[in-house]
Amino acid sequence: MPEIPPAPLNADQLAWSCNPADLPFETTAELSDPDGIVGQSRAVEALEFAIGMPRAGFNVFALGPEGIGKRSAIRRFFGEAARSAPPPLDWCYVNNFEEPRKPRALALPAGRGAGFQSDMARFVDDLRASLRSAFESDEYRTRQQAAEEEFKEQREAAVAAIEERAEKRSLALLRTPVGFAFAPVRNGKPIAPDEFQALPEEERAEFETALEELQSELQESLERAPIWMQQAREKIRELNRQTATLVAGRLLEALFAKYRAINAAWDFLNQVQKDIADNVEMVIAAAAKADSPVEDMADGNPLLRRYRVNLLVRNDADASAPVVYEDDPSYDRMFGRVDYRAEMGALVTDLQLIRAGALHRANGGFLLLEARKVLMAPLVWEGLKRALVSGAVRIESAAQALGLLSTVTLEPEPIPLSVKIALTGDRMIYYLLSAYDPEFSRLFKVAADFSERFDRDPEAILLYARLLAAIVRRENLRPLNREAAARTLEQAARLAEDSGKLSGDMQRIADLLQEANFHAGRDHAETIQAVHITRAIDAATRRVDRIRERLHEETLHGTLLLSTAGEAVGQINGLSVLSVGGFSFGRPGRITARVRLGAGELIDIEREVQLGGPLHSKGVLILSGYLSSRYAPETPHSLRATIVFEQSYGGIDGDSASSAELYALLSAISRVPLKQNLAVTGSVNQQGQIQAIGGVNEKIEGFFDLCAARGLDGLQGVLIPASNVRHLMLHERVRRAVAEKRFHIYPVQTIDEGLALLTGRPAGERGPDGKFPFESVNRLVEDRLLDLADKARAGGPRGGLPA
Amino acid sequence: MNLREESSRLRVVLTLDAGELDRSTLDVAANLAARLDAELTGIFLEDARILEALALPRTRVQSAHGASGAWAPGEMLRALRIHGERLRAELAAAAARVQAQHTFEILRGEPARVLPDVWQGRDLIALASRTLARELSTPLALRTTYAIRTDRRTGARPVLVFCEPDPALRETLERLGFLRKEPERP
Repeated sequence: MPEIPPAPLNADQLAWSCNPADLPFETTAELSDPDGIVGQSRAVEALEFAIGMPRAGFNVFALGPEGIGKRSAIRRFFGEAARSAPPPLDWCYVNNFEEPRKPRALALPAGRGAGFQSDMARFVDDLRASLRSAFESDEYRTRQQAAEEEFKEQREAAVAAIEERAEKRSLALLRTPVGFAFAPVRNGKPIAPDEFQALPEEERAEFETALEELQSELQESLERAPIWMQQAREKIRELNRQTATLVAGRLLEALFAKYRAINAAWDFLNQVQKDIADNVEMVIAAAAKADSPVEDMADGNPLLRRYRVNLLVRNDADASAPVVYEDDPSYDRMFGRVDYRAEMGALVTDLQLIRAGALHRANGGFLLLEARKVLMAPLVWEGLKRALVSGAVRIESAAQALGLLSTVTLEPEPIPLSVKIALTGDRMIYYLLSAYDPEFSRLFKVAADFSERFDRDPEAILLYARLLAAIVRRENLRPLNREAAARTLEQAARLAEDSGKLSGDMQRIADLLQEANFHAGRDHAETIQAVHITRAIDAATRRVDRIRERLHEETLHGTLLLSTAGEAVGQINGLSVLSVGGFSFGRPGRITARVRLGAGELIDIEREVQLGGPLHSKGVLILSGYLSSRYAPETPHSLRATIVFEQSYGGIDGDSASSAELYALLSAISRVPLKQNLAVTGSVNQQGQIQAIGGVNEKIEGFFDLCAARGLDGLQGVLIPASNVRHLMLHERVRRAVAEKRFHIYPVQTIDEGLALLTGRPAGERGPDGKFPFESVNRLVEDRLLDLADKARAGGPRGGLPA
Repeated sequence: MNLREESSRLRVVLTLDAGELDRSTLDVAANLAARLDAELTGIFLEDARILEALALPRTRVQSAHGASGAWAPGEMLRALRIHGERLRAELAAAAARVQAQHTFEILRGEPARVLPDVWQGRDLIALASRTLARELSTPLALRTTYAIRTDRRTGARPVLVFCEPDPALRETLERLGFLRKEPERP
């Protein structure tokens, strides 16, 4: 088959051009918002499935690059699903009277929590006031006094009886600060010690005997005093219990009636009533105690706070299920926390200081999180999985979760969890989690894969225009006229790097429209026009292309060596893409190859100095396979070849230069020069087929700009993989030059096609004799390889490339 | 309330001994002094018989809780002083609560001998000790009238003793609700 080098592309093939006349509107103001999520049918199906599937584990991971509307799509779906879902329960924490360290979680119907909280707060206030009033009442005091008096009277009666007997035996009972003492008297007058000593022996003995007996009697009587006191205390306690339970019962009566139908609240009220009865003395003391400033700050007396309710999550009975987006998913904000209050230099806490997290707020509804933030926040990912697996939210500090905290603190009862979670993140995170976290695929069963590109067809174009209209309205911008819309659509195709697609990166499109609106404002235009879009694109490029411009200048000045005319052996213009701060541009670079007699080594200098990435190294090693299979397959190769990117001082990765390296290598082996007015991009496989690469537009434009700066001579051009033609969305300056035949873009499918273009002679196909045609490039390559092999056999280096 | 000129202000004396303080009497006396714009005087009597009794052989002090032991007069004197200071503080606090003027004195002697002299010239006497009231009932009966009122708040029944009853004072006390008529003691 005769070899015909591929024809250059014509200008129409270099980009998709949107004809404004095809757009059925004057300005985007005429367009309504799109009805659904544009161009994401796969993701939409996944979201619909996840939302409709009520079982655990069917949470969503929305994967795709930033800016393509994952969050807004999920919010929209969640919002719609939430509207038709009932509001979830209100959740409260109340005291656990049996184990105060572990507050109990209490569920109430939506909208009833706030009322219950305020009712219990009022109950505590009323209890305090009523108890104070009851215990200060005349009735209570009289009964209390009566009990105390009874004790005193018992004691006084006992003392009086002793006193009476003492009088009869001429002894007076005296009160001292430390108890009772007897003093001898005569005729009602005390006997002084001197007088006493002067008494006759018998009389003294009589006194002493009486003293001993009465002291014994007094002791015996007073020993019963503690028992009387105990009895009196018991009576007072019973009085207190009756009074307090009566007061509390009256106050609770209304609450029992109000919460009769809510079992959880009813049970709690019963517990409150029992606790008051069981702890009357404490409750009375708390009620009677004046609030200290510290207690005022701490929301009242701590003893009475035990009856208060901490409303953790409140919902509106008339509302729908919650949709929560937590943009700062720290551990505390996700799972809730227990706060502490400084009191007299110590940190204290109680159940009123338990705070809800995002999981509590989203319970019964939907929660949207960003995967990267969740994974970056310490312990949050593990905590989230634990909550989903156990179906409950447990509030504990991060230190507790790590087992580092031994301080006594609260352990609130876990709250049952029922929530649909959507994580958003880029694909790498999804794939890494899938690969390395066995629980991930069990808990996030639904992948909603958002595409960053949409197929471009007339229907999609109109839908995209409506999307632009929606952005304009949302951002309060000027409407786009149809030329501006057409220009934006072209830019969307350029961002998609595919003339048959439109970019889904709506954030970049929105940024473009905002900047264009700014320029339209400067021009006092009522609508955004095509010129404003172009100006915005150019200005955005201009702001970030300092490095591109610098490299361009250095090449023009000859600091960076690159020929755009003439021929050279073993030397070719390769094309690479540099990305700096999100801005990508093409950079032409010289690739050279050198060969000599050797042991079949193909040396990639980039790899040798560890500047070549694995993909680049792979591309170079493929060249070795190509050489072995294409040329002299029965003979071990005996060459030593080196390949290098000249004046490249940074890392190189990717295999998009592998075809250029192969051309340079074949040129070096065959000694056939390559045209320097052409540049090459494309990877190659072992069969010599040229494969598609990325960044084709930037690469072409990079070489074009250099040639244009030096002067287009009509011979310059770029060889690109034929499979990349559909990705072309070249700048208008390139299209114009191609249309004027001052620059050429060649779609190449094989190495042979490329060789023909680069050398100006046929590459050559093997004939029936198994040989390449005489003077063809391939013949020259093979002959040189055989020659090197002969020389090697004749005494050169041993070994060679495998046959 | 000024029943008399400032120079002849009403005087209320609260008599205290070493026994247990009857706080309800203290409160009533203080309250009464405040309501009558009277001066409240606390008199603590250190009963001299106590120290003499302790000097006798085999005398023991029996605590109200049943404990028993010998006390030297010196130790008891210190206990009396401490008790007196505690009473002084209690009186001051009670007077401060109702913003009444007050004084406090400590005397030593036998109650029946010392107190009638102390009470001379006083308008009202409150006895914050049942024992004291019982012990002194005989010497006071001839020239005093008892007026007993139950304190509504505490339910206590302090003993108030009029010295040389003044009809105007009695009328005022009745109007203020401090008195409940009791049959005049013979």
